[in-house]
Amino acid sequence: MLVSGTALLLAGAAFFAYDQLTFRQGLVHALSAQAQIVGSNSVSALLFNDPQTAANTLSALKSSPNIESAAIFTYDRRSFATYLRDGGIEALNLPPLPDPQKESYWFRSTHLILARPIIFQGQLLGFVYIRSDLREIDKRLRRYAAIAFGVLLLSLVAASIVSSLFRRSVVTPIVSLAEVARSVSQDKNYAVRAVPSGEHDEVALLVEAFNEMLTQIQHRDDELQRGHAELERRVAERTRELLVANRELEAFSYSVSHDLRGPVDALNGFAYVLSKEYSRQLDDKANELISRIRGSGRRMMQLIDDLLNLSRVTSGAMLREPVDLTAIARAICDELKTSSPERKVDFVIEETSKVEGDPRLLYVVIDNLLRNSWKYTSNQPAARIEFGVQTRDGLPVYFVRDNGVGFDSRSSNRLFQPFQRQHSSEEFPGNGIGLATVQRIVRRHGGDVWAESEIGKGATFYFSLSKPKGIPSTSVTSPS
Amino acid sequence: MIPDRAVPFTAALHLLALLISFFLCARDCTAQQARPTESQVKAAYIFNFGKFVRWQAQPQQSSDSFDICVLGKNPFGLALETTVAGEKIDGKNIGVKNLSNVAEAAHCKILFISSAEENRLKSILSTIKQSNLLTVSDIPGFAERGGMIELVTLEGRIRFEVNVAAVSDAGLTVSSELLKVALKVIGSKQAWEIDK
Repeated sequence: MLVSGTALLLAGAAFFAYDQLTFRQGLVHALSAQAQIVGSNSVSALLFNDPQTAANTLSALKSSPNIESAAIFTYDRRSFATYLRDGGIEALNLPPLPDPQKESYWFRSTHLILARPIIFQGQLLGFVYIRSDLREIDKRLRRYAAIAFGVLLLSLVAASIVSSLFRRSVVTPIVSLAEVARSVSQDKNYAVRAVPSGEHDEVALLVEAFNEMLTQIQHRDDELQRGHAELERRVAERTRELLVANRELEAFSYSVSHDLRGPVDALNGFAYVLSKEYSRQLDDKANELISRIRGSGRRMMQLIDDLLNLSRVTSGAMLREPVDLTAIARAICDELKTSSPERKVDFVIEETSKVEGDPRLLYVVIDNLLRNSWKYTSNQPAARIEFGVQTRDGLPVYFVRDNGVGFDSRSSNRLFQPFQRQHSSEEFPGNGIGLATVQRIVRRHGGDVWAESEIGKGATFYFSLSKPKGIPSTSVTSPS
Repeated sequence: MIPDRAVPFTAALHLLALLISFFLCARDCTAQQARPTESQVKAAYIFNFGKFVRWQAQPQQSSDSFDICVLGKNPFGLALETTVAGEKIDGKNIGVKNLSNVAEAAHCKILFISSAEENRLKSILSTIKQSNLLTVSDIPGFAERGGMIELVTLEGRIRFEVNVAAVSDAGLTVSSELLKVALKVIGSKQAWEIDK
């Protein structure tokens, strides 16, 4: 509104200025024509020194009501004849012509004076002055202003009407459409539709197209949901299948191990009898062979036991009782000391509060970890094995630390996989089942196990018995 | 004009006259020329009449000069010559002639009849009747007696009367511009007198 008003005002002012200019010029031309006529008609009067006739000629200017006064001067600027519209004797102070050969005019505030030389056959006879008032100009100015103002007012009114119509039919529907779009994006509700305006114009087309688009989006969204549900279903099915397969496999391995136990047991028994009863009757070589048979037999048994343990861990029902981990650790440490009294190992066992879990399985965990530490510190003269607890993210994390041989942390991703060993059997005995078992048990309790180590500086095995918030960056977990 | 030998003397005289006129003159002397004399005004009028009158084109009289003739005693002195010097009427140079006899007036365009010829006016006018020339005179009653333009002095000003019948009889046309400023116009069907 402001913009159009200003534009109208400027346009009006420009036209007005132009009109004033042209009108003024017109006035000058009219006066000039009259001066020419009066001048040429006064030639003989000037030549023959007849001011009366000249005055008569001037008096004809009465026909132009805007002319206030007129005068004829002789060539030496003496007053010759005068005309005054309103009578009376008025001293006319008229400006001299700057150039006696040419016409001149002066626009004053209330009147216009035009002067012209009277030249007859190349001879300057005198000058004619005409003075006109500017009433016409003023009248025109006022009329123009009134019209301009009226037009301006009308235009503004019309503009405001058009603007409000426009707003109603175009702006409002578009704004409401934008609102709908925004709310759809925000609430993700694709069932919303924009309300049609009821008109049949381009904006209505836009609304229609928009609604169509929303319908499409809605269909896509539904499809997406369906696809998602389908996928979930398939995943669940596969998981079920996998679980079944897994369980069958476990059962198989359990039964195999179990069946293996008998013959191996028999093997060990007979070898024992041989070594006990017939060692004197056999030569050294035979006794050595028997001793090696016994060694292998023992190892095989151990392996079978471990395998059986591993399967038991996952198959059996899990108990939930308060368990004292510290007591378990102490017991195992005592047993270790008793089994190899020649070794000097420093045990540091921290007091821990009781935890919820299966006592048998947790025994296996601590047993495995402590025995590992015991095993891998066998070359360390000042061996030190610790058991304790830390708090991470508000949850207790237990650890077993040793200063033994350690392992390369780069290959730690295979640490918890069955049969993966970091060291050869010659260096350290073992079958590589232990940590896999530990991981299974700990995961059944809802926690996890991970390790940190540096070669030559020992290892620390951490485990938690409930869902941790986040596993440290150096942790290693095998693919489940 | 003036002998060389007398130059210093006449120059001194002129200078003296100039000095005297300076002391004697009033404000009027500052004008580019002094107030014109009666002769000068009349001479100017006669010259100007020529601008407002149309003569018939007559092949046998196509002379190169426009002649203003003075019949009888010349009252103007050199005024007439001075006025017309360098001027032209109808593109022709103007010549001033002094006549002693009206018969010599055949080639004149304007004939000024001096007041000395008042007694012979009637014969003069009859001689030059239909002669296609403009007659001007300051003889009182000139216009009434058949002359064309009569110079009249009224209230210290030179005015004139025009006899349009006489003008048209001679085959001349006088501009209405001239008639406008005439004191009296006689001889037309509606003879009127402007009351000035």
